[in-house]
Amino acid sequence: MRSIPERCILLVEDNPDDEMLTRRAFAKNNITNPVVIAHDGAEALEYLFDEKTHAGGGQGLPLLTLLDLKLPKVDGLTVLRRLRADPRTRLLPVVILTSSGEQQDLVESYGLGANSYIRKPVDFAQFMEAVRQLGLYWLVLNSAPPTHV
Amino acid sequence: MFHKMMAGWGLVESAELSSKRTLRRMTRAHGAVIVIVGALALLVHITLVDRIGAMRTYARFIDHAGLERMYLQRSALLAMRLASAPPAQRPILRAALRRQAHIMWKLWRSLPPVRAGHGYPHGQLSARLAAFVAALRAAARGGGRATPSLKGIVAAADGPLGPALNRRVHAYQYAADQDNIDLAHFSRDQFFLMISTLGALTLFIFMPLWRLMRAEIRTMNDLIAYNRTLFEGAPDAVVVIDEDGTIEAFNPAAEVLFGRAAEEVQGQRVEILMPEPDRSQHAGYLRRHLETGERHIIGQLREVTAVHQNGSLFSVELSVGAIDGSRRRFVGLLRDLTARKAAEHALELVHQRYEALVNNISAGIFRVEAADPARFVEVNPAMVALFEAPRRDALLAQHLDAIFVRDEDRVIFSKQWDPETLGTDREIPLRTLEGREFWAVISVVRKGDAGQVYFDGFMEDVTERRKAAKALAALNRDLRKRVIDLDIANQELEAFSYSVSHDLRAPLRSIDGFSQALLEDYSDQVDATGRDYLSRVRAASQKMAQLIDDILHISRVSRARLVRVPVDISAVAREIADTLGANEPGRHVEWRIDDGVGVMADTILIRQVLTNLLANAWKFTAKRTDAIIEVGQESKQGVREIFVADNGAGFDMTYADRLFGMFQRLHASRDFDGTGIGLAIVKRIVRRHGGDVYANGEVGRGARFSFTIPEEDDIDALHS
Repeated sequence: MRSIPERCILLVEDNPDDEMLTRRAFAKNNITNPVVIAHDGAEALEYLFDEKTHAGGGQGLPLLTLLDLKLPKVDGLTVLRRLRADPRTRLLPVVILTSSGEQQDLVESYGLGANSYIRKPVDFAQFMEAVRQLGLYWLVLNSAPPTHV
Repeated sequence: MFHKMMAGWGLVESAELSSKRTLRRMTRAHGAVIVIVGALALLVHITLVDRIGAMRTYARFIDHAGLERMYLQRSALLAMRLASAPPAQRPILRAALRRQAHIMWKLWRSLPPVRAGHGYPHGQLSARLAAFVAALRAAARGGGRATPSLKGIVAAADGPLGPALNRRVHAYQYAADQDNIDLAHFSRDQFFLMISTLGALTLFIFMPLWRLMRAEIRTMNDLIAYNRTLFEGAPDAVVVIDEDGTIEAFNPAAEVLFGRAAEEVQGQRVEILMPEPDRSQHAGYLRRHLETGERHIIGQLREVTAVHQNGSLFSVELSVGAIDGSRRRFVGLLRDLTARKAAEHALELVHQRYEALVNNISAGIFRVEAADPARFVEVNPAMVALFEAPRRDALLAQHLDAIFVRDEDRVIFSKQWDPETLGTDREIPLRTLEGREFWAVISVVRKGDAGQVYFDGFMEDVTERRKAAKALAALNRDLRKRVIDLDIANQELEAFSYSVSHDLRAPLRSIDGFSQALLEDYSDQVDATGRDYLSRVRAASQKMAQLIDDILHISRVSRARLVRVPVDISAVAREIADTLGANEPGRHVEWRIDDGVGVMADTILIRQVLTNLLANAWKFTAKRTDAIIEVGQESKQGVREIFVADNGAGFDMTYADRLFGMFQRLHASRDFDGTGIGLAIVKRIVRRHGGDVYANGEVGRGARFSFTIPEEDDIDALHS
């Protein structure tokens, strides 16, 4: 589990509170993979396609991407669409982590190839539990697709 | 038909001529036969009388000649006896001889001479017989010359006189035979003459007559068949009466027309077919006609009333003809006018109806004759009113050039104008006779007839309609703007909901999350009261998150598109019941769910309704051990209600109207949890289906919620 180099988790989240709470949940659940934060959709795309700031980071593609839907600049669904359209990121595990419980968002996300959809609970205890299960499943149990395909 | 009739007349005329000719021939033949046969009979009669007389004469001659011969022999015998007789007897014998002489001479004198060649010549034999008779007479006288006489007598008798007399008999017989042969020939001739006459009669009179008669009979049969067919097949009733007014013939059409059988009316008075006053006067008409020969009825069509067998009266067209045969008869031809009258009446009604239609219709109806200048030739009252004409004539006199406001419209109603190609249903401004302008729609068809061009059509004053249309167009523009505004508002609402769902929850999450972090990381710096406060902060934020979710939910219910499909309520209720039971396996609830409850509704929304109602029932029966939850349907005043009933905590009917309000609760949270949104959602969904929802309950005895889901058609009916 602690095998090196550990692949990172990309958290696309504009709300610093949520960012902090998510990090706290990771920490509480002993998830030690490096967490890369993208504060909007454009940043996330730049990172994933090595376009500017994250270029040559050498960390490769993240093990898991946690994607909020309501984001500044480029929204989450657009990010997802771009990821799935590109052969490099076509198989990247993407979990939608959002406040929205709208049926429409759920349907569109799965339609665009989201691997999972989690609505952020208000109750922090439930949130913790959700993050725990998320980490257990995607980082431990699941076999990630190869980095380069 | 006409040719047939002519042929019929030909038939009748030729039959008449042939009959006359036949009669004349027959008369002539009859006269000729009488003359010929009479002449023959007379001839035969005369001939026979003559011949029979001759035969009788010859018979007498033969008789007399025979007697002469016999007397000759007897005289010889007497002479011989006298010669040898004693004297006493001689006188007697002499007397006898004398008598003999007398008779013989007398007989001889009665005999005619025979034709030459048949025996001795008459004179010679007569002289010899005279000598013989003289000898007899001498012998009778006696004396001296008596003895030689006696010898002479005997000698003469034995000598040539006897055979001469015999031959004389033969001669007479021969003559008689000759006569008989003549008669036989005559008879034969007569026979052949008769046969010839009969043959000639047959050949020249009877045969042609027979042929003629046969042809006549055929013609007559044809005529009879012809007449019978005409009589029986005629579509019109035919009634034949005699001079006295008695019905002789009644054809099938008459049977139908009068409803009487021919056998029944034949022999009856014709008056039974007429109503009064004709019934009592008909005999008078007939008598007057027969006496005066006035023919004012004969051969004319008249409309009269007739009586049906059932007593009803009906109109017929009557034509009477007289048959001047051996007896005088009258033929009545009757045509039923009931159908024609009805048709005329119906036509009249149709005509009246159309006239009324044209006159009453509010649109102007007209006919224009295309000429220079064009004029109206037909207008209905609406046209007169439309053009504010004082009278119809004034409008008909108006030149149509004057009614057009715009010059370019004057082409309308010109001969070149064809509404098909140049467009009809035009909306154009026109001018009334008073000079007022108005807008009219003209709809026209062009009709050409014998070089003349007509336009038939109608026009309507659309001035008001144009105003209304303008107003309507403005309204529509306004409405379109409102729709756009509404769309924008809806989109804003969507964005708002989304933002509520997303953005309002985030701070709550922070509040809850950091409260928790505080509790976990700084529990040693916060005392029990502080921890209690932080717990309350967390509970409140979670409660608020729940409220936000409920608001979103109810807004989703209001916005969701309604798709009606058949939903099996019974099956859905059982599914929900199973889910509820699975979540709380320890509870015992008796479910009574009726079979076959179904509605046409949105399957997702109606499931939500049932879920909320059943979850409520489940929740409010939690404190009972004998909980019963029922789902079923019943009809109330023809409206079908679906209900969910329980025997749980129930509610006070005083607050029933608050049940369906948003976030309204009748129970304290510590008894039964919940936000009070469930029934509000139920009410929204049922209302969206056009139905209504009702609640009944009693504290501690249970609650009963029922709702109606009308069919879509019923909703449309309600709204219209």
